[in-house]
Amino acid sequence: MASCTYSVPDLNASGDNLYGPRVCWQQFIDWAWEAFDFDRDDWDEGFGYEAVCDNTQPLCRALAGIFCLTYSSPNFPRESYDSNILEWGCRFARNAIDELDARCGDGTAIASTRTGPLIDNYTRLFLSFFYGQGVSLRAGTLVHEARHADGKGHDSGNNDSSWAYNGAWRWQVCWLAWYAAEGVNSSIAMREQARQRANNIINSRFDTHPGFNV
Amino acid sequence: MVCEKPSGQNGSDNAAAQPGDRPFDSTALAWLVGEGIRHLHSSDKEGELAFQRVVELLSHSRSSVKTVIELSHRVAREDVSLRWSLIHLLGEFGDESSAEFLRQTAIEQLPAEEKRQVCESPRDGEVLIRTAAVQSLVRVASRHPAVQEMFLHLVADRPVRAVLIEAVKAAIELGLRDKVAQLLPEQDKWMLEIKRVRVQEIAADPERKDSGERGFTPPKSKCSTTTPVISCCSRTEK
Repeated sequence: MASCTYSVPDLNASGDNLYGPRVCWQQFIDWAWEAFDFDRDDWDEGFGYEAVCDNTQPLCRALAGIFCLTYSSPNFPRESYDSNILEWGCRFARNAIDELDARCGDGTAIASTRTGPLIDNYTRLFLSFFYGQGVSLRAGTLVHEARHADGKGHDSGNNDSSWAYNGAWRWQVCWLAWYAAEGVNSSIAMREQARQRANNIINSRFDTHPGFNV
Repeated sequence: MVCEKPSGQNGSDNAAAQPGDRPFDSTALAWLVGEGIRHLHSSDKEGELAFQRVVELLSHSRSSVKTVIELSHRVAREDVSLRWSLIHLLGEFGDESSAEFLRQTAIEQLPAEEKRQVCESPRDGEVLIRTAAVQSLVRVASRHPAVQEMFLHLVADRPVRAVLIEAVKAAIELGLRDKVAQLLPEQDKWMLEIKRVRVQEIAADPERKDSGERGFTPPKSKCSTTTPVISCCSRTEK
């Protein structure tokens, strides 16, 4: 077992004062807990199980990301795969991610996913997921990890070789870009941050640059 | 964030919060900046209007830029969202005196890239700060033509690719395409041709059809309820 400490960043700037009160809704918590297969043992001991509405603690901040992923489409509750990823992103993520765990991490990765036959599959969220990213970027990370949970890894080190590979980076870019353009109940800042992050991924995570920005 | 021992493969971890700083309590101007950040992150028209009012008020004070820069130095490095917001605010001011700070931020050395198999890392937050600085610098330069030359220096400094591309795009937007083309080596000239596309032009292929499993359907948002409720989610912001 690892132990870690964290300081809570500004709650307005991260979007946790915007999304925190939305998360504090028992029906949503009950649903998310089952849909993403949270387990108490992975979210107690300071990770927020005992204070799910406390937006300074990891669990509430993870739920804020899930809320953002779930309710940002103007077409909700439609979740059709014939539409854009803002609409079906949550559907895909909750079906692909086997279980969602909180861990301290070692300061290098924001999240990681292990998947394969005959092993325990999981997605782990580390301290920098909760405290180093605003809410919309957390949602983008969940989409990225869900693509890995579905069995699609990167094909060029930590990068994807191309846009056509249709990997986790493309999916993250698409979700962030659609959120920036059409996300509802969001702030100007959160959408702009999503757009900038999408461009940073396009400009650095594809071996062959796709030739566009959003 | 401090990890005393990295997480292992088995067993859960424990975490504890440390008290944070209160950077906006130091002066009246810093408090007003804090109000600006609060409204910048609100989701309604009322908040957007309040943000514009705060920017107007801050623009009347000659010390506002200095205060925001001081706050940027004071806040914890790990608080990427707050640093990003302060940089965004400088773009809103569009004041020439912030240009050098923004340029320095854009070219500040990044932490080394993680060699191990990790996707996103805290370094991505640092890249976001630098690209935000370029975008705010564009807004300053659009009001103060003397600042435009800074983009040529930025390109010449050869920052990491994500920052370099933002600088190239900005220079083109400001009418400096020919000068930037001269600075870019042959293998990077493709950056001049990057298009900006509408979101409708990009898509992720889900590789599945609607007939498959939908899983646990999320509850309808409280906001879509039409019957009277004892409290409505639209007024819960502080």
